[in-house]
Amino acid sequence: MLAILLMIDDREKRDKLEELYITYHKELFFVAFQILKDYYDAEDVIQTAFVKIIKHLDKISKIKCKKTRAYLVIIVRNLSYDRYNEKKKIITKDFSEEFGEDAYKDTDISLEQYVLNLEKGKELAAALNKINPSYADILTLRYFYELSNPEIGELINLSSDLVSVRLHRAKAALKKILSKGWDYNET
Amino acid sequence: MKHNSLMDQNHSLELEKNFLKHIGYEHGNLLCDELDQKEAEWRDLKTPESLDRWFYQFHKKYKRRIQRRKFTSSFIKKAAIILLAFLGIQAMLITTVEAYRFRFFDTIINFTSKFTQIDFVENEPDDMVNLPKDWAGKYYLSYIPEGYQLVNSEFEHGNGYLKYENGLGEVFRFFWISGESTTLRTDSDDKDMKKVMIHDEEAFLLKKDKMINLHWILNQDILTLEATGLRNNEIIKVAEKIKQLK
Repeated sequence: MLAILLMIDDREKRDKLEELYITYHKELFFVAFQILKDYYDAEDVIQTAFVKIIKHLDKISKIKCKKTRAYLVIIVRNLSYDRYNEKKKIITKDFSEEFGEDAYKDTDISLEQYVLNLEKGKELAAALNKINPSYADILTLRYFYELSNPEIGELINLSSDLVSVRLHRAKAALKKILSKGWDYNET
Repeated sequence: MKHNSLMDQNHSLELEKNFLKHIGYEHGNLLCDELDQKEAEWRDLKTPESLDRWFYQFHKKYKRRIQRRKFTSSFIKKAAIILLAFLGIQAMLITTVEAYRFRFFDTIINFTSKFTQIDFVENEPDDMVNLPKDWAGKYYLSYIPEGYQLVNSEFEHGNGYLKYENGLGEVFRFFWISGESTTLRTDSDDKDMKKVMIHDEEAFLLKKDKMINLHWILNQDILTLEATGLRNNEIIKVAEKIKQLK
């Protein structure tokens, strides 16, 4: 069936959704399969992801770019985590359980910290991803893709309130990383 | 750091947003890099055919929905254009074509007058000023010679009687007998009789001394006027002005 789709050489005739599927379905399936280790579950997650993406298709301006690629990966991997936890009946461990309730009381990051750490964004992102990939993803969806909390919630199967809580915790985790220094992600 | 003003707070908030945006950007890059490193793995991965089939169906439905939406939106646009054009032409015709404009405004005026116009009808209440308020007799006099006033009136079973007097003791009476009369007979042995026409009806004018009688048939009723002190032409005028209550 995909062969038929690929036979349509005239790219202008293909719409955005078709382009997205042809370009990314393999790697998205891989992302889902890596987490779920199950073909059927991975397939199911991809289907759910495309049903959700279609509602926010206007957010995608260019098909073949890192921004779109990462956007799709974030959606698929979060839906996969959700499916995995649902299947295994796992209750996700929050930042507060690791660092205590006080850890996210004050999430204000100082001006000096922004300036000093701007160049180290990559390391910070990696550290945050290591603490909790969901925190890094939600922060990215909110600030890089500029989605609203309800939009994020709809995309990755979370309530708007939970998105808000996780955003708050993601910022607190980031602050903790900043205050502990770069070895933090090694701990 | 303490925020001294709203401007400082906004500036700080903007910086924080940009900082977090930068983190998000880097996170996206990392995800892509990670996938690039594993490209060999996913390139060879065989995705289930059922996924392609599902997408094909899903995409078909999606395209159909888009086409329906496009059709609806284009239909609404066309309808709006037609409506606007129609209204535009109407406005143009009203303002430019004189005849059309008059017709248009005439219509409005006629329409309005349906609800506001005053119809002028014969002034029956004035004619009946000398009748009793509850008068329900079949006939009444719309002309009464000068100086006469109603002094008596009666009606019963379709018959009626009206009596007028002036201050000089002169009297004239009007009475009618309801029935199916087609002919009229009168005793004219010792009277001066004259045939006159009351509208299209033949009438008999009889005169003896000062008394004048006028008889004729109207609507199969026998009508009589009897007067002392009135001249022929005057009594004929009274007869001609007799009206029937509607």
